[in-house]
Amino acid sequence: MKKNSSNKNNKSGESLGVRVKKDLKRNYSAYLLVLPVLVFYGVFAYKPMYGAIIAFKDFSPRLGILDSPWTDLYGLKHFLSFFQSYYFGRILKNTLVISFSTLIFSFPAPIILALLLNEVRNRRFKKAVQTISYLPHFISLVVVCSLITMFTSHNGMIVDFLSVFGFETNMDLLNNKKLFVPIYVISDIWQKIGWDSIIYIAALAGIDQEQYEAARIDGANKWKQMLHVTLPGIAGTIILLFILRIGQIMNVGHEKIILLYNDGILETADVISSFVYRRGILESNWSFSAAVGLFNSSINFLLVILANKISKKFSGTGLW
Amino acid sequence: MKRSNLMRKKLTALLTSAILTTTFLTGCGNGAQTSGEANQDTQTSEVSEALQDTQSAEGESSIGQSGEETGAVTYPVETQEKLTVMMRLDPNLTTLGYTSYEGTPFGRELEAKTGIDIEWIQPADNNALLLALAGGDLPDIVIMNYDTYTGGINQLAKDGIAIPITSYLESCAPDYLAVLDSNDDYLKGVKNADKEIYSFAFLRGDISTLSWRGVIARKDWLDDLNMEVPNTIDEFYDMLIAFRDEKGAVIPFSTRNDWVPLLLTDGLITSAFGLPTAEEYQIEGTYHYGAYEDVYKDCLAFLNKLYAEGLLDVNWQTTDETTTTANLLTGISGVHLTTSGRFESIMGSAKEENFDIVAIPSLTAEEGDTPMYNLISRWVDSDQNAFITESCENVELAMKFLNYAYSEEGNILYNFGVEGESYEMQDGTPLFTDLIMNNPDGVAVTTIMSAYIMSYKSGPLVQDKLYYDQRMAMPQQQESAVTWGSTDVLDYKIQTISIPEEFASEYVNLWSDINTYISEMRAKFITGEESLDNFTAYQENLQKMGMDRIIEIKQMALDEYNSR
Repeated sequence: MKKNSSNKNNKSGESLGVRVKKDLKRNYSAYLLVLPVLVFYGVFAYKPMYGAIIAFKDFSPRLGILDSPWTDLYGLKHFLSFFQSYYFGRILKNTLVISFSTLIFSFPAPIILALLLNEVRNRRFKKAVQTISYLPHFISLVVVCSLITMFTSHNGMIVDFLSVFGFETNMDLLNNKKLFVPIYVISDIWQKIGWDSIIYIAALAGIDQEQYEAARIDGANKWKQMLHVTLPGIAGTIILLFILRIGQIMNVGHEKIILLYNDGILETADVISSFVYRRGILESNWSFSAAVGLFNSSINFLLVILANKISKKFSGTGLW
Repeated sequence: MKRSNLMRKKLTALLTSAILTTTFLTGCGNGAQTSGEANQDTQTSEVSEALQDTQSAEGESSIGQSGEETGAVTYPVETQEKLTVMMRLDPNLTTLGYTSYEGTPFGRELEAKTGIDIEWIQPADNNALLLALAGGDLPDIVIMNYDTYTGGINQLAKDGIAIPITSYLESCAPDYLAVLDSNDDYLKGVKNADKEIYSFAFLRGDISTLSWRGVIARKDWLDDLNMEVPNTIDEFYDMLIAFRDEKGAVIPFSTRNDWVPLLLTDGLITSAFGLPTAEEYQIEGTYHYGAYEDVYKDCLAFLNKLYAEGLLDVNWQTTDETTTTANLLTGISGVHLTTSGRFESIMGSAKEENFDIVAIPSLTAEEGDTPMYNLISRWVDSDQNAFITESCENVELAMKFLNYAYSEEGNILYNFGVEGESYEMQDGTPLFTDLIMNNPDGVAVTTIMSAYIMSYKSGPLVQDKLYYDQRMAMPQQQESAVTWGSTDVLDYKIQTISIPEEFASEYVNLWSDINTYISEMRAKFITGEESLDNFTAYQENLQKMGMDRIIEIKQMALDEYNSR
């Protein structure tokens, strides 16, 4: 921020300080505009970051972040205790399985919905579909989960529907460990598809109509138009969101998990965050939670950089 | 703040030491005399406090040597000072539209009776309270469940949230001291591993208030079938079969999710297999953990049999309380596991005319055996204990305020509320009014109670037998306390023991995984997903995960408790 490239053309001989001062004077209104943003990030994003050091300490709230003692094992006690946990392998696996399943199934869903809606010509129908698909987004997660529990119970909607095809059970579906991931992913799609499609619909609206016209003149049918005009038109948005999504791979929120799991299906349902919830939050073990959080964030951070590099190499677009 | 306070105390101690040497012998008599006066001024209390200081400096605890008349605290206390008290907000109060005890009949009466102005700080729940403790300034008094604070009382003391109050008890909380002296388990329970007392604890007033959860069955069905209330495991099994075959109960035994394991952990069926409980217990001072014992396998096998034969709800892990209660009411099930507090609502919503329920005792192998175990509350509960923090400037006042709950008058306020509003005196016994028990606006009993009393949940008080008997007034409830409670549980029960501080973090780290493993495997063994042939492998796995170390640490804690 301090260096200003527009000033590079200035006469050489003036020192940097002088140039900055001049620029500040000339463009003070622009600096003033950006100031609140800088302050916001400084106060709410960067300053709290030093708190991450409690991952290496035995944090005691009363002593505060700086005065809490460092842990044994060169400050790595909590990390080691996480890696050495009996369940480390399982929760890592489950986290990745759930994460990749949502990435594969739940990420494309809003794109498909947006593309389909784009082809709908009846405005009223389109609006109705959009509004209905938004709705789950506005329901609190606790309510969503109790809805899921009801839908998946042995006398719930889903089993009732399946019984038409001869599928009978007296077991709640959530008692079956094999069904946890599908239930999680499908309900995730149901909950997010409408809301997440908004950004794609907006991107679709930005595509130049003349391109469609040109394609039609060239003899492209609907399918070809979508393939060669629509998709390239929103590819930038898709890639952007995809990279951001990659940065969430290690984060499977604990709320939905702990609202849905039970002792019998821990084998497929227990993820890193729910493990941390039990061990870190319920036991007020802040340092342990921070250590796991830091571990997750580091991996996410690396993945984002990697995804960005790959994307730039192959498509030419990226986050930065 | 604390420092200057300490300095002041030390100075006072120095200055008065000369006087003390001359007044020491007459001190006791003096105290008794001044105590009768309404105004116990600060000077006297400082002298007696200095006296306490000298005593504890000599390594003597004031406990156990309290004379008959060490001086009662007179209420209302005359003071201009305020106290800040932090406690999590009871959701029932929110229902009534209060945001704290401020303005409730209870809060109003408490301030009037003690003469102390209280500023309530009430975070929405326990987590919010923990966060408030972590971040902000400390109040004078914190009322909380110390089990939810990592490291328990030791850490609270280290963090300055709890100061030792042993030396103040005699002078400022004689009523509390008297209550503690009245029951050996109280005294043992409130003493920390370092022999100091830190808390004004939640104490259960009578053994009959300790048993409140167990198995119930449809009494009308038993009568129809000419069956007795089952005592043995075989009779229990026969009853389930009879309910299924004769009464058409599709799911004979059904209870809310995560309560089926209580059959094991509350020791409801384990006695029949020679195991007190699936959780921790002691045999003459030796620590055991039930789920690690060999006979635990037989208990699991029994539940697995019930599950396989459809006698136990296949959806026991997912069904909620509303559904399972409805099951009982509609005849889908005939046996249920619940708390005596729920009897009213169960009986109240029954549609069938003869519908009746009866408590089933912990089951044994043979007729006439005494069951080993049942769920029993600890005499001293870790929930909602009061602690004085180090930022409290007037510890004596805080002591007196908290002592009030244990005085005769205070006990009535905490258990029955305000005379003429929530209770009336009849022949010297407080009886709840209809405002509480039969609210004209249809407010639930517990909800309306929250504005008048504290004992219906937990708090720094003695939960009175008189209160409990009225709360549990139905014959079924009274009977259930006896049925469920007639066991040898006190021989096996481990009271509130505290893990030595140096092992606390090791314990937590080991226990977290083991705990998950035990409950997960329990579920799998019951459903048969894991064959019971693998029980030895399960035990070996527990051993690998550090179960022996857990037992070792707990044994130390138990030894320490038993030596108090």
